[in-house]
Amino acid sequence: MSENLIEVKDLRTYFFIDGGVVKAVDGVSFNVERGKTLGIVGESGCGKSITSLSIMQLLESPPGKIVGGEIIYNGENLLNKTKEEMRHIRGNKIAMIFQEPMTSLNPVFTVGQQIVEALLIHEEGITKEKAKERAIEMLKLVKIPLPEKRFNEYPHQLSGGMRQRVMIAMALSCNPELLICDEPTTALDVTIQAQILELINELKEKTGASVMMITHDLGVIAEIADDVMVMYAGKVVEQADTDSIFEKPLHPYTIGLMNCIPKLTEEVEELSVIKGMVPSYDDMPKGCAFCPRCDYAKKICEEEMPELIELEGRKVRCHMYSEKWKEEN
Amino acid sequence: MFSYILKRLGQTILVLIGISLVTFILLQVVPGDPVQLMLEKRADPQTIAAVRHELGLDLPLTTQYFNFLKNALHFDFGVSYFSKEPVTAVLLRCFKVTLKLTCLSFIFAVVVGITCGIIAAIKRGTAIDSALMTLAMFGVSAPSFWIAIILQIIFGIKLNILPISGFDTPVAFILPSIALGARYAGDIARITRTSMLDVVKQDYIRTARAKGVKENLIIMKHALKNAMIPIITLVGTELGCMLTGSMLIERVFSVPGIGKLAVDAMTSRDLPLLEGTVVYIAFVFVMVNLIVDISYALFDPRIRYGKGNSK
Repeated sequence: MSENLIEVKDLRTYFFIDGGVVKAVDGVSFNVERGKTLGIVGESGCGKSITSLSIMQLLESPPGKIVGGEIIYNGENLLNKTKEEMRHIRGNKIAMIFQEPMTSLNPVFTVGQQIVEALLIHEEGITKEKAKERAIEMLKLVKIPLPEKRFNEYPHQLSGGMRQRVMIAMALSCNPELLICDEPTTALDVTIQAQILELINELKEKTGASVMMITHDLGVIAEIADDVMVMYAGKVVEQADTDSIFEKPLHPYTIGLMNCIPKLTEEVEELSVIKGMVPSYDDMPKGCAFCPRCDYAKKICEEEMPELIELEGRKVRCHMYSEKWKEEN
Repeated sequence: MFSYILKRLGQTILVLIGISLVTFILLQVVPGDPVQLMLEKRADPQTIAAVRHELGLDLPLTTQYFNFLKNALHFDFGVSYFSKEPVTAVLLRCFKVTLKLTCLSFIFAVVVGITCGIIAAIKRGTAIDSALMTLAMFGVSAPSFWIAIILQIIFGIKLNILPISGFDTPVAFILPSIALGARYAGDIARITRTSMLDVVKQDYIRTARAKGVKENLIIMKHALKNAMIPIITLVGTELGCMLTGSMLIERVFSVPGIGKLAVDAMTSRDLPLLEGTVVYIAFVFVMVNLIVDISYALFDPRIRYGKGNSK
């Protein structure tokens, strides 16, 4: 078994809004192994982005607050670090790229200045000339044509795909050990999506960095991830390696997600959907959060929140796999 | 860029001609004859006619206006009816005074306004934010002459540390500058706060944090440069207002600037002086606007003027 780069244990991130509490991330645990890619999947609002922002400690606070858990990185709990210590880790050891390449780069600075800035912050004793050389190298690495010219251009002069490449160049410029990608391809055309994913894969091989890929697109997971974690309403509902998940999804929610993917080999009139909506925080069911939308739900699902059950080296949060359920049937 | 500036300067001339024409017509329409004011009621009709002829007021209106335009092209606005001084000389003298006052109040307004705005934005929702914004609101709503009088009472009379009038020593400018700059500082503080709050929510600020940029650099470099466009627009207009003189402040502190000159010229129907002052005010406004428009491009690369650069 390979070594874990990051271990998240029972992470709880809550939002305190208008007297209510939104449990955006509620007891999430997972590991990212060195050099591996972990995919986190789920619908909008299931807590995947908040999980990544919690690791980076970039939550808007208030209203967001990490109320419990541990994030162990290189044997140290990141939640015990000071703001200044975290600043040295961000962009240096753990880097992040975001969903919106169109708005994630500062419009009033050239892309070159923005990459150089990251290098000057984290690389001790680096000169401006050296940083510029490195930035151009990085632009070359992410396959931006004419990198010397692009270096002096502003974000508005680049296309969406090019901007995301710049974001990747910026994120990788300090050789981070972990790259968090928060839906990096969602805002891009399908052909550009494929290119960006290929690029991330390629750079991961080259630099040996681990990747945390957050997406709602199982296609992206199939393309890039070694392991998958499926989230629903702030909780992990299934964890497994990618092959097993695609071969045999266990949780009804994962099964639903798989069924939503149209298959070229079948002729269907209508695309299948998971009925209903993610429950809102003030209307959270007492038992399993997925129960109102689940085709297999029984009385026990309405009453009790299922535990995360270990099964054949995988984890699933569903009563269907519990001893109780088997006894009843 | 160069052709853009040239085009704007061309427009400036048109604007100035338009404004001088409107002023000229208005001065003909409003009641009050400068010659009668000048000679008071004792003068007989012959004298009045003679003076009118001497001043060229008996010529047809169109001729009068074209003479004015022709001379104005050589920066000659005639001589004041009363002091017999060339208008340009009077304007220049008053301009120097107003410029000094403007520079000081402008620096005061920009430094205090932007600083307070940034602090309020960073401390949003706290007592500091409320205190600063109340102060800004006070600056904006309190009449400047009232602030002027209060400042005179406190610093001039009670504490006796600053002069309450005149313009001979640099310290004499402190109170008028604060009185004049207070409302502009309030305006700038409010717009800076709003603009900064809008910018700090943007994705690129999150990117800067994710990159490990220091918090004060995020505010002063990444956020402020983006927040500058609305601030520059306001600051530019305010600079125009200050340069054209403040009638109230100059009056309260007896500072012989452009504002006081305009009021005096108006009450005495000193036509050449008034025409000169109005053209000066219009010119300052047009030029300040041009400078503001050009400076946008310095702060935001997405704004580039002229052909071929738009994207």
